[in-house]
Amino acid sequence: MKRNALLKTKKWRNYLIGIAIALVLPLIVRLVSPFWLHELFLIAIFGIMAVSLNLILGYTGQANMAHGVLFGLGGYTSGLLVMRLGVNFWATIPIAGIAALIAGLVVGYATLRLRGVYFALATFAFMSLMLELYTNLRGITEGLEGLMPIPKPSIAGLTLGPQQTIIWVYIAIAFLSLTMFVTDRVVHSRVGRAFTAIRDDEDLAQSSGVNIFRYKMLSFSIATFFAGIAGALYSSYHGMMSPGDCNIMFLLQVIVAVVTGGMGTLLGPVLGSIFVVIAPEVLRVAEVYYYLIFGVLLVVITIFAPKGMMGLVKLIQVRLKARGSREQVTL
Amino acid sequence: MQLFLQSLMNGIVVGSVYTLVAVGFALTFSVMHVINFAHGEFYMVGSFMTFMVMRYIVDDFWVALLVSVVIGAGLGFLVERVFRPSYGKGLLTQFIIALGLVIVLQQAMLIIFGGQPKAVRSAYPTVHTLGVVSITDERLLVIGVSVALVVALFIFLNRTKTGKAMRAAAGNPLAARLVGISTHRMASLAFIVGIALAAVAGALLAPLYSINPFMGMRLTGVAMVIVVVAGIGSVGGAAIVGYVIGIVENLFAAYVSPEWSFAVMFALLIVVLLIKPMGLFGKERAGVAM
Repeated sequence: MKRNALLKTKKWRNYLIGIAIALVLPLIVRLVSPFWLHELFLIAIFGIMAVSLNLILGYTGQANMAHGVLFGLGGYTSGLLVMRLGVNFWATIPIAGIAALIAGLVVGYATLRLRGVYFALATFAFMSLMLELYTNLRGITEGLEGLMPIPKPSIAGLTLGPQQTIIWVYIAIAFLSLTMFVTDRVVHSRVGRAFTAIRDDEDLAQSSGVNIFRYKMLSFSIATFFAGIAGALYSSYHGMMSPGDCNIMFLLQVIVAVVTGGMGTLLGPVLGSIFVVIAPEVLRVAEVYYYLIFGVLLVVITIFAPKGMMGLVKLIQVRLKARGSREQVTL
Repeated sequence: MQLFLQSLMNGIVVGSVYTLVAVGFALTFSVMHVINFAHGEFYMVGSFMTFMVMRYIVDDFWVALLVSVVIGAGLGFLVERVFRPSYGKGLLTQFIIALGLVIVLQQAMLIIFGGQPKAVRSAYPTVHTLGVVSITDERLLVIGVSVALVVALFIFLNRTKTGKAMRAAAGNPLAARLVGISTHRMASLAFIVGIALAAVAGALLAPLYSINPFMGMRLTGVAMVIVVVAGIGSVGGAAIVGYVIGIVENLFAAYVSPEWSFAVMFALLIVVLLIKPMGLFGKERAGVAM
């Protein structure tokens, strides 16, 4: 009972720290350099994508390659509704999420009976197919040039143009928090335990009565819903949506965020998103070599820290604790 | 009829290249179950090495081909070493290592050669006319070299001791190790051969199309389609499906629409996976975990 209460206060403390960071960080960044606000927005968008992908990748153990194009679907849905039908942007956010969710259910229904590599390759094929559709259905998507300009939405009479980046940042962070909150609640529930059971041993999970297909579909649909929302936010902020915004490089960046941050952890994908957005900016001093260095860095990090940054954090925690109690640690 | 035969011929040429790339992809997968997402980049590197030799060193296609093969084999050896720490660590870790390789190779070529599309002089431009179909010596050479290499690979895998050892290591690593086959050495050999084949494909196709540092990704996609349709790990199946995909793609482009041919390929793959998840020639589920 006492332990439970302790956990609960700890949880509330964590929530409060999170909210404080979410509120204060954009203000500090704004004071330091408005340019970094744009980066902060991107981090939050990558964060939504990485945290939601982590649900299916890290917790359910399915290498979903269609996550990026469903982000694109959300972006296109919202952009088209605003541009062609004049729908209010704020109303298109949930619609974009639901559109991605429905597409996700279709993809999931077709592919989730496959396992391991076969699932990864089947979703990869879906990704390529959808990208071809975005590129070739010119009448709807405007092809490679993409939809633009998508009009900027307004909030209480204030148009959210380039001067209002800080408001965009707060909106994106709010949705990132929502994604993290939902993921956290799902993972620490009966459903979440079914997800991890599937990840750890599919056959064992099935024989203990977990309906594998249904739980995979659930994990898939929650994740794709948030991908659609991220797409809607991104396309409206950016003022355009093209196949280049959700291509394979984008997907791979999201996967890099999840894996370098730490699969199957709540904070890992957010740390990974910071890495994915900031690293190329920092490496820009290396001029033409910066992508080259980024590539080498990826290989080196993956080989030497296969559990990601959260793995390193844990390692350091264990080492520090061990020093305190003078125990030997073997890892 | 003329359109049909000409498209068929072009399909066989393109299919020859697809087959070389896909067979190498299947081979590198077979031993250690690494999906080498960077495989198409070695095709790109092969093209650039051919360009480099013919433009700056000696203007001889065969020397250029040889240099591409040697560089491909050397890269294969290195790449296997890069992947080695990730064996058994799961699909995603290897995916990211491969992504790192993709970026490094693309950027290296971009920095060295620049982003402008390059053309390689054709060494054998003579045109033959067979009835209504015309074909250059260059294209006949592509078909000839591809068929010869695929046959040679089959003889190697089925008739030589090393080739059999490699298949044993792929089929049952534990049993292979028990009889004294080093699975690591076999993986290394598979990467050397597989990546050298991709480099050959790049060298062969370089005189036919313009080359740029970002053309490898498409070949990786094509190789994935071929290998999955054939059944992962089936090298023979990959050879057959490679030619078929090349032909189907060209016929579709000629009769229906060139821009939708890529989409159709992926739609086909999805259908095959839904009906036969192991692929057309796959025998059993490759025991691959995430």
